[in-house]
Amino acid sequence: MAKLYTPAMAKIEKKRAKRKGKVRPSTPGREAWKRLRRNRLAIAGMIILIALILVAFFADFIAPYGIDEQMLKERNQTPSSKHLMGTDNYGRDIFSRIIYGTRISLPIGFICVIIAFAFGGTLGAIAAYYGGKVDNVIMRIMDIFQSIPPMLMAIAIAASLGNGVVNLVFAISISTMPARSRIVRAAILTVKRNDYIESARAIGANSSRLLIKYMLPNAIGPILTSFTFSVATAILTVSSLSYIGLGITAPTPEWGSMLSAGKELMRQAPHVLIFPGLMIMITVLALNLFGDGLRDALDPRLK
Amino acid sequence: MSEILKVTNLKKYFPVPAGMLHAVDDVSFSMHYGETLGVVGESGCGKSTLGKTILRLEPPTSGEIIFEGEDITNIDDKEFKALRPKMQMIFQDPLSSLNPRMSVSQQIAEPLRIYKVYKSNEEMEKRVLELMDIVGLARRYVDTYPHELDGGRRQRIGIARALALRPKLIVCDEPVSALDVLIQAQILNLLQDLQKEHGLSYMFITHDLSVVKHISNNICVMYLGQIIEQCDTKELFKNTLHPYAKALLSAIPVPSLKHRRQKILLKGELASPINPKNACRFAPRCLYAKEECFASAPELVDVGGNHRVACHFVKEINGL
Amino acid sequence: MSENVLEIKNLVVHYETPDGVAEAVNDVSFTIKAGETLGLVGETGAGKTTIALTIMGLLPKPVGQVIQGEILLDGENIVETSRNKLKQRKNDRMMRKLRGNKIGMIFQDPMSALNPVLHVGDQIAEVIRLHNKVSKAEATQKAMEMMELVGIPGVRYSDYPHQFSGGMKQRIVIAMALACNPRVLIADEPTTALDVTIQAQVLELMNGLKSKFKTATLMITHDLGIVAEICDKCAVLYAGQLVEYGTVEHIFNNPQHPYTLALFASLPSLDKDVDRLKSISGLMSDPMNLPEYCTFYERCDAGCDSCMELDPPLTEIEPGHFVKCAKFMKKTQSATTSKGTDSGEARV
Repeated sequence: MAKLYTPAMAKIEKKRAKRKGKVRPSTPGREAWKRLRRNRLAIAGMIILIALILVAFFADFIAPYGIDEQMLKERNQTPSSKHLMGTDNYGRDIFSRIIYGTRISLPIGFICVIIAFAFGGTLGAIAAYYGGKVDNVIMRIMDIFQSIPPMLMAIAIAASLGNGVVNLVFAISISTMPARSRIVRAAILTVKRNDYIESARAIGANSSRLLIKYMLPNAIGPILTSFTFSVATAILTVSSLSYIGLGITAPTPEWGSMLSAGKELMRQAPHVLIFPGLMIMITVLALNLFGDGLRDALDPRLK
Repeated sequence: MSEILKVTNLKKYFPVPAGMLHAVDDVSFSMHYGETLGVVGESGCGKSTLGKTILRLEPPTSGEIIFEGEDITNIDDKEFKALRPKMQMIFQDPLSSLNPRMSVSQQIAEPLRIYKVYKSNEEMEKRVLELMDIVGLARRYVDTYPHELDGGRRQRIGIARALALRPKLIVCDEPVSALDVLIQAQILNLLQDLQKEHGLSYMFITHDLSVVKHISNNICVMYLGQIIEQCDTKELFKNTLHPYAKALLSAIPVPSLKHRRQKILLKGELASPINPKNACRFAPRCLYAKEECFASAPELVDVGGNHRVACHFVKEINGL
Repeated sequence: MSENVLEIKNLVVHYETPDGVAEAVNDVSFTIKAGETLGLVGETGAGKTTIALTIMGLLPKPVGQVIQGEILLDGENIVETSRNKLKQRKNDRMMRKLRGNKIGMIFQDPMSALNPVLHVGDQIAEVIRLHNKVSKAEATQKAMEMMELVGIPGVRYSDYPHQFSGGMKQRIVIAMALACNPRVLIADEPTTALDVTIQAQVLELMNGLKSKFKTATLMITHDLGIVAEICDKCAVLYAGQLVEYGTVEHIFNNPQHPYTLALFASLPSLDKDVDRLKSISGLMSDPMNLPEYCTFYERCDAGCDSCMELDPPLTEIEPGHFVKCAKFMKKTQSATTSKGTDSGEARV
């Protein structure tokens, strides 16, 4: 019986030849990266995100005009080579304002989520690790928080504390904290059931070592995934609050407030409204695509 | 003092919604230095819980555990930490019992780090490599991660880690049941070699009677949280006395066409270990059960030659 | 001699993953007759389950691909080697009708085979109604009969899966698998998740049903003891290839392939006392990176230089007993030559 030779086998030969060259230990992180790389949408999302972050960093160099530069002769102009996205009713260059807007929406989105995870996550981790009564007390408090719709709560906090970036961040962080604590709690609970926790206890590892070296690194997957999705939600919330006038107010070029300003001129100058809207959409989409890819890449079951 | 471990009337109950789950119920035995005690039983008989309770991974409900002459039943965690290096454990599933985010060297170094055995990193690395040599793990795997290795090599990591602190007693919880037979043989040989070289005592927990026969000096057969037969290995296989142990032995499929055994098929399945009645726990499945078996629980009694059996009718059944 | 119910000819199955192609099954052939049980033995990753999935038409598409070969069920080919989507879909439709009807299946984990929110009896009845034109009452009647047959009282018809223990659940799965009186039964490690005493009960049951239903059974297991107990034939699989194949008498009384010998030697025995188990070093070749020569060479004690040169074919060393090892290639060659001379002499 001769050995079969199929096109597939020719491919194997090639792979074999390739593989002989490299010897690299594959850490779980590297494996995940390999899987992520195969997901084109996720990579597209990642590239958009990196681009947005770069734009935020180099806004001063990219933006052709200042945030508040009013060119009253050139009000409500449609996009042209001089004003890539046109101008608004004060004659401000929309392109420049959108570029500067990345410096507001992105950091606020990230900071809100980091704060929500820092507090909510710690509480969730404590609840999961100790279980029993501690778990019950913490989670019931979280339940009370969660019974108020996050948006409503954010509006209430923002309305009572007044406008401003700090208040906005506070409002969003507080209102999303319970959900984040649940995510961390669930992730830690899953990891806690693994045998390696028991085996670490058998070699004498104490609580803090268990939590830091065993539980958190293994729970990081779902936490990271939910992090990206949460940033998307936070950016949307910031924009929504600004749109209804409770977040960041004019003249700060926040996308939501730009959207709000454009709504009055929707008939005459739709571009004033379209471009900020588009930016919100692209950012949120990029984050969601990346988050989706991350979830697939970090889930070992899909290996 | 030749006893390394003495367990008396050990009980471990878990509260569950339906009542008290008697995972380990009144178990007593002792182990000598350098011996292997096999603990056999089917799933749910409490053999794993017994091992974990002895290592204090689960606090015992009552009873006494004496390790090297020291009562460790109720000492606090700090005191126990000093003893833990002497008592280690090897787990069943080598993949799930290793932290997926640590490389081989980190896994093996972990106990050394926790107990701060070495001051310098060089010394520790040297010891890690030495341990890898001892368990037959090629040095080129030092930076690999568990998911890249096969079951046998993973289990070698688990063994190296258990050996790192130079223990005296190792509780092996089904260390080979997740492995293919050829690998199983390698690991069993390794465990035997290590025992000779390092004078280890093993408590070997398994459901596989042929493995336990191969490796143990003494055997405890457990059923629903209790020891029902206990004696040295040769005696058990030559002269099985308890009806359950007999059935268990006969039920093993033998990989041979010549030595066919007469099978004793048991009725039904394991009863619930929650709030058991004061009766022989095996009685509902026993072929010889009589009224008395349902009325009172038999004690584990010596029937001669250190052969202990918990059965009311052991003499009648076996014509002793 | 009775007809072959299941006949597998030169089956080759590959998994085409982004990391490369895994040659999971390489040129495997075997036959099972009605009422016969074939034990398929091999270690993890040898390709046992892939063979089972291929027979059932459940290979994960598009990763799993049958490259070549035939699977004949009562003489009819049921495997599609083409990559054409239409043809594959047509084959999928055909397989859906066969599964549960002509091909019964028992898996390792009985829980995954049972729907937790349906009465167990109804689940059996559903299989019957799916493949036969019978009324609901008839199906219920038949389902109850099946339950009694596997040793579960018919009064438990309306119980849910969680109300049964592991062994009982596996009995229900067996009842489901046999409900339509299938021609072929595929049992993938049916007792691995069960305790020994329960395993003995289930094996006893399967042994009894074998003669009643006259099914051709493919028993996939890693336990040679189970093979000795209930199989008629045995095939030893190594790195996706059959290395030894024959009746259980051939394999257990006269094992020849070095791998089969190593398997037997590595088992701790209940009858004999051995101080040290024999084991062979090394690992099974990576299916992504199979050598061109004998796949067992690197672990073989008896290997010689010529083993490096070729991949030996499966050779018949006695009627019905096949071994894939270079040492028998020469023997049979010389045997045929000596036979040739014998007949030559006879002619003279």
